[in-house]
Amino acid sequence: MPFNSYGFIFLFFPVVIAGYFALLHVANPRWARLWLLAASLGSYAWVKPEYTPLLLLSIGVNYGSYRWLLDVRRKAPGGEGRRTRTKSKGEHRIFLAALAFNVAFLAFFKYTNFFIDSMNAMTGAEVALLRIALPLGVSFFTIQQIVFQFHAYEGSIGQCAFLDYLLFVSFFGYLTSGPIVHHKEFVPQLNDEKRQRFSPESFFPGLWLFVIGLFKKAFVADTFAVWANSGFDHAAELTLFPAWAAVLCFTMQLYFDFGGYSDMAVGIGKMLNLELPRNFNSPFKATNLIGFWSRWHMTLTRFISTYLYIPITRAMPRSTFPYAMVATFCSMFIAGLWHGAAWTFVIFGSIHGLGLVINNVSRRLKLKVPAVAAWVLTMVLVVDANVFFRAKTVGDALTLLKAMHFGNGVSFSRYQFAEVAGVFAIDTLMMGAALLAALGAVLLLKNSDQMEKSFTPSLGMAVALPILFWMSVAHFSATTNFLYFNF
Amino acid sequence: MTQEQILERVQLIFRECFDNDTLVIERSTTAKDVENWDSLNHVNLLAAIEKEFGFEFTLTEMGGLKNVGEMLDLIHQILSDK
Repeated sequence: MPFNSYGFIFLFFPVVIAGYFALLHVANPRWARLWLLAASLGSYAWVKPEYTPLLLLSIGVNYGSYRWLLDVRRKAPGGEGRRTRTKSKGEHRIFLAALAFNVAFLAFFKYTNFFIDSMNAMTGAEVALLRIALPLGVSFFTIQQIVFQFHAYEGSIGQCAFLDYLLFVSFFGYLTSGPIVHHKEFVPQLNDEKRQRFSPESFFPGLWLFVIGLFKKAFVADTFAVWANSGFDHAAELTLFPAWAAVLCFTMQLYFDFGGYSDMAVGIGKMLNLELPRNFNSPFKATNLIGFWSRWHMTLTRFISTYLYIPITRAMPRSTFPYAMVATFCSMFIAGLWHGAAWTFVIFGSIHGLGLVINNVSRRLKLKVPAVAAWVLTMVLVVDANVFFRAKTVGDALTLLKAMHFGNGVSFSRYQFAEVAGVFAIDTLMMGAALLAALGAVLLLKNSDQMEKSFTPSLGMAVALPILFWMSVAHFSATTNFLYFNF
Repeated sequence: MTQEQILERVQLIFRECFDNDTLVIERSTTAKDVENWDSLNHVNLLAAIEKEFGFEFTLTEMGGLKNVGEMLDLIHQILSDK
């Protein structure tokens, strides 16, 4: 169930949070956890019930494999208590099987038709596409479980009860769009007595974060979405300035959509007295691409650098700079494909991979680029890559990129922005003002995390909170899904 | 091997890895405090430490270190377990 829906805000979440703390108070933590689990699975099934068995299948296989691994470890010489730096063959096989299952699960549901379609295009064959449903959040819950398998294999996870594991994977606060949470970041909190109570010190900053996130998504991102959609739908007709306007509107839509979602997820956690890892830290303040990825989708970057980049680097014949660059590019190529089963996402990942290589080479050569120029170069690359992130086909993306880089000429007609903003001058002014205001906000204002850390209730906040909430809810008529829901 | 001895050897590895002969690390030092301590140099740094002390970090350990203090504790623990 999307966070930006009437059902979630006015019924689901109030009932869930009230029930959770009531059960912690009158019953015991186990019942409260069961309640959260029922809410999580229920909200997942609400979207499309047929996805739920697939989620449960993935959870069942992963948990079964973890228990089996523990069993093999216990029976090995030295028993359960031994340090697990050296692995037995049995442990290694179970780990590889679990890894293979997760990769195959994701590949089957997400990439089978992409593969068939690409083969048809290359060979001229006419193999029919399969009728495969893409389970909601499959990319997120699969890699979260891949990381769990790594942690279990490497010995950093002891006993994990099935109920805790179920909730760890399916918690509604992050199941469909992240953050990608590690076991040690979530499960110990469920069993921490200090967190098993209502805490105003956690609830009110959480509520503040949720409302800020809701405003970012429902008001700001959905406003930019209208202009971005219109521009991308008329890509072939755009000249230089409107093409840039359309892509910048999409860039702001993506920023506030994902940033807003991340704030809401962390806010939901805090209201339940649970801390979730941060996923977003003013990425547009970065002056190079390495900095951008340490601030954008931070839990995905953590996964890429630890579980893609390091293993690829270790698999290289030598530990040299050129090989490290190959590993960097390969990691981002895979990360691009993770975002979606389409060539547009492959190119999106490749652009970022190439950008990171260039960034690393320039560091190695100790090239000094003025901060403003470095920021502009970084943003141009991010914005160009976003064209592929948003476009339906590579052809559409190239059409827009051509317009952005003088391919369709420059128009100074008073109607040049008609296909993006609307036919009236005031429409163009509104769009321009919104873009400038958004850019100012992302570059100059404190981010949500900083605001939350210095949270002190005030009259201004008490006034701002209902106004932001009302503006967001009033905008629900134009509600769109979160962009990362599609993954 | 004591924590101080480990710190001494790790200090030299840091200086070589980040090409900075005057770099001084403390337990509280994080990636933000050292220029160019990004994911690439993090892997190179840990690979050099593995070579120096003769063991291999797990991926979880490599991804989970938050500061130099945690790194020293981990090296100390691994060496003690050997």
